Amino acid sequence: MNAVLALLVGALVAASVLAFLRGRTTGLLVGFILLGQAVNLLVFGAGGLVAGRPPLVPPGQATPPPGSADPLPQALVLTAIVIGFGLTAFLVLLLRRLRTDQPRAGLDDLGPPSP
Amino acid sequence: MGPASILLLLLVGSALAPALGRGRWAGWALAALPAAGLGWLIGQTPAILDQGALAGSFPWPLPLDPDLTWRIDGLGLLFGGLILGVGALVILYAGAYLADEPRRGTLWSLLLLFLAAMLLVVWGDHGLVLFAGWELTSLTSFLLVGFRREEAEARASALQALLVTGLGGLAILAGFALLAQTLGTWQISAWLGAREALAGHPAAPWIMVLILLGALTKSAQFPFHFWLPNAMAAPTPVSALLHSATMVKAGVFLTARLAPLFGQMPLWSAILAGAGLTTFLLGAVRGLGEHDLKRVLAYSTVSTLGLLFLLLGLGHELALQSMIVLLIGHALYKAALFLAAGSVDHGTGTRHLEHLGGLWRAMPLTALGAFLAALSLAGFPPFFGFIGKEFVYKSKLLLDPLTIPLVTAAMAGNMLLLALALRVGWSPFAGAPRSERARQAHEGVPELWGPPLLLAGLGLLAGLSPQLWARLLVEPALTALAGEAIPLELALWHGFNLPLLLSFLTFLGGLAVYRLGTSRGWDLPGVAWRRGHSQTVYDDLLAALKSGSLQVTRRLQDRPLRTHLRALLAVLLILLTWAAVTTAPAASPGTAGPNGVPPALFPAGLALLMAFAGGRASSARTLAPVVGWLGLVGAGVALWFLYYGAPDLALTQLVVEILTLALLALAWKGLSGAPAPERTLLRDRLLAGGLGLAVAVGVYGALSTEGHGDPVSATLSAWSQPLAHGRNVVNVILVDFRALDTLGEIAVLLVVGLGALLLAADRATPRNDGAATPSWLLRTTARWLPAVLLALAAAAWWRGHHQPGGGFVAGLVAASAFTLLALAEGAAEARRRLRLDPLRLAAAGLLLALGSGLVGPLTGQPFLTGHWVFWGPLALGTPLLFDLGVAAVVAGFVLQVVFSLLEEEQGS
Repeated sequence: MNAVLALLVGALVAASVLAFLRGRTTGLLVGFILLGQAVNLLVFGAGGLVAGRPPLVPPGQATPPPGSADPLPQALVLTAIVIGFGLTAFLVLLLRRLRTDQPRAGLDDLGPPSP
Repeated sequence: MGPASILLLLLVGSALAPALGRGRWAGWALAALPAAGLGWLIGQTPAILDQGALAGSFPWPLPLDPDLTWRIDGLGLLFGGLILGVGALVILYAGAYLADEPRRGTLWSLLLLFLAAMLLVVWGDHGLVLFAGWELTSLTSFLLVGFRREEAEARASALQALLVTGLGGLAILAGFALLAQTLGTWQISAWLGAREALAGHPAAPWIMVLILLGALTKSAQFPFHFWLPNAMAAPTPVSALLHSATMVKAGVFLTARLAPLFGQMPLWSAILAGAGLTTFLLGAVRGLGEHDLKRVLAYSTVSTLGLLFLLLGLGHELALQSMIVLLIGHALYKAALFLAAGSVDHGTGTRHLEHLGGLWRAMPLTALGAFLAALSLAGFPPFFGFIGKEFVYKSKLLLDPLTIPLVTAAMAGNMLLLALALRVGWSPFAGAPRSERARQAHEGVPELWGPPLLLAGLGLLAGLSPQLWARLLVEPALTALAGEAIPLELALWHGFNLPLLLSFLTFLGGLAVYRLGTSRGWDLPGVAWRRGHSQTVYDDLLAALKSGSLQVTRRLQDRPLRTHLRALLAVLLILLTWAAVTTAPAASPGTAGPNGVPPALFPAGLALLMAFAGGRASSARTLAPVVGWLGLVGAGVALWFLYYGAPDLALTQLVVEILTLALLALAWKGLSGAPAPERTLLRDRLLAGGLGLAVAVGVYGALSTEGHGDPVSATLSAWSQPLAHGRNVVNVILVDFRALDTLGEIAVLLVVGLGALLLAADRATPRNDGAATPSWLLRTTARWLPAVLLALAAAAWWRGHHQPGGGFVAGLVAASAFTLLALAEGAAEARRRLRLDPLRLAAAGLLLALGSGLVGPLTGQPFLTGHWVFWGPLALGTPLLFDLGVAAVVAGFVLQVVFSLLEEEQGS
């Protein structure tokens, strides 16, 4: 499955780069979301993929059963999902604001600071 | 009681001060805080004199090596007494001076904060404690100079003071860091004994110059003297406390403190004596050309500070004695003069010297205080200032080759200072009123004339009982300064000798300068520059910094955004390729490596679907299909998490997907209608493909690498139930083992919420009519579904410690309940039902999380340590509160974003 995961992450990265380079400001949003998913999948997979055994301690025992999924990457990814959502929301607001202030602007119109 | 309690007292006062209303006794109550500190210090004086110093350490939740230590020796006693004593009087005075000012409480708050910061500077025995206090004094000074924030001049002066002293603060940090590196300790008292160890070290001159840079900027020495007269934009009580009695003496303090370490270096003496002498003369000359009472005082302060540095630079025993005597005298008379100047301003409405005069009739008590202080400044017997000046002359007569130039310079400077003293302490009060305002002057309340009179009276008292002051203050400070006990004889009368003759000549010369100045309206040749050279250099430097930054930015970012993006991505591609080529493959493909996972049909199909949807999302031409494809990717990721044993992640991802969808739908109108995308260039396709491939190869390599050592996860899993009482290991990691990280992350969410508020702030205010009429189905559902969702959120939080769920999920679900309500009934209705501003909810959540973490330090354990109580089968602990805080922050932030989007939509 490692190869499948690697290809999936690669494909999502490629898609996000394409979205970035399309030249539309909304492409930033799409690219950002896709890149976030790719990285979350990567970090999640870094702990090893274990099917169907969540890191929960069964009642009456002290530790999760041996061979459970790794809890640490899960904790990392959980906050990453929420933070990613926060930044997505901020980006949405930013893009909306841009659309109001400069209705026809594409990515390349966001130039250097004016003197 | 100890230094920590005193600091706490001042900080509590600082926090409460803005709430203390306009009552007359508020000033007395607040002044009692530093006065209590002073009382403690006086009580400790016998112990300090006896043992040489008191020492201990401030409580701190994290282990540090060494601890954050404090130490009060003779120098700390002298400065601590000055800070607390003058501080108490100034707070009392400020209450009456700003009786009609609505922001009086804020001023008090800042003054108390400043006092705490100053105590850290003079009592801290850890380099970082001193530095932190030092920076805090710069910051409070900035806020206080700019207190009249509606005046552009005050703001510019505040910024100037901050930049100059802040620069010095950074130099000190660099110097301290080098010193700590060299000597292997941050403890200041340990540094002092390490003169031999430092002497031959190549870094020693650098350390010394860096620290002196900080000291000279703080104490407004040439060429950094210009900020202090400008800082007179601050309210007068602030000038009296910060810019005369205490803060500007921090540089003198630091130099004196480190004199045992550097005192033998020739460069040290050269810099101090050079800068000191220049400032001494320059300040006195420039003061003559000023007509504003406070600016005259500021220049005379600059001048006296120069004299203090000159004496420190001379460095022999007598010079150090003179330095301490002069310092005490100056603190007493200069603060008194500033306060009297404030009373004059208060009583007449002007500080212009040419418009004053004859005030002794209307303001006799203020006049008395100012006159006594001016006599001490001028060095008349029997005031303490006289003893100080005699000492200065004596100490200069010791240096054989330099005697004549130094004594001449000192006499010239003292004559000018005497003339300045007469200008500020005599001319406003004597003679006849020179303007209508002066004729209508009136004496203020006792809080206005009392403090200056008390300070000036102390100067007289000290002059009459010099031996007492020598024993209690001067000798202990000298001992700390010189590292050995120096006996001292202070007396008013030493017989007819050379210093007395010099003093007499100084009187005559000073009177002559004063007569000459008065007869010419103080328009003396060469002194009436309005703008000093240093000020011009400062302005030019600041302008150059701004235009330079703009130039650099323009040069580096002059191309379209995508060009920069391509450059970044290309560099990333090169780095990834380089890493892939140089790293040997860990496992041959085909075999399941050490971390190999058996292939499975379901996730493989899922991956294919996600890759396809991602590709479509990136290439779709309009927004509607993009939202659909992105949703598909997100759902796929959630299922992936579910399949691979991460139900928490799956839940979170799913709710986030729904909220993202709602967000995009809300922002629809604002986002769509963008120009159609250009045709994607071949090189962009190649770049995307190359990066995708490089990432895939890298990820495969990383996944196939065998881990090293025991994974930390095993430990966390083993601890989860026995130590943290939680069966959901992921949640336990989030709210207990790594709670500090989580705290940082929810803080980020709050910041995003604030950003959302700012982005929407200047837009149309929301109308209340809920423009869109949603469908009957939505409205009906919205009646009961939010309640169900809120119940679900509560359940997710409650069971999250043992089962999949937790604060993040709970917050998201709760937010979606109100989002649904807002969509159906309008944002105004949702806000009404929420009853709490979303950002306040988020802030309360952050505070709850912080508060739950503080239980640890309060019981002597590290921050964020979990505490549990057991009640039958029920286990309640602070991590649950922490998780509740997380939920509140998440919900508040999401709702802030949703509401501002919706209100914009409905308002436009």
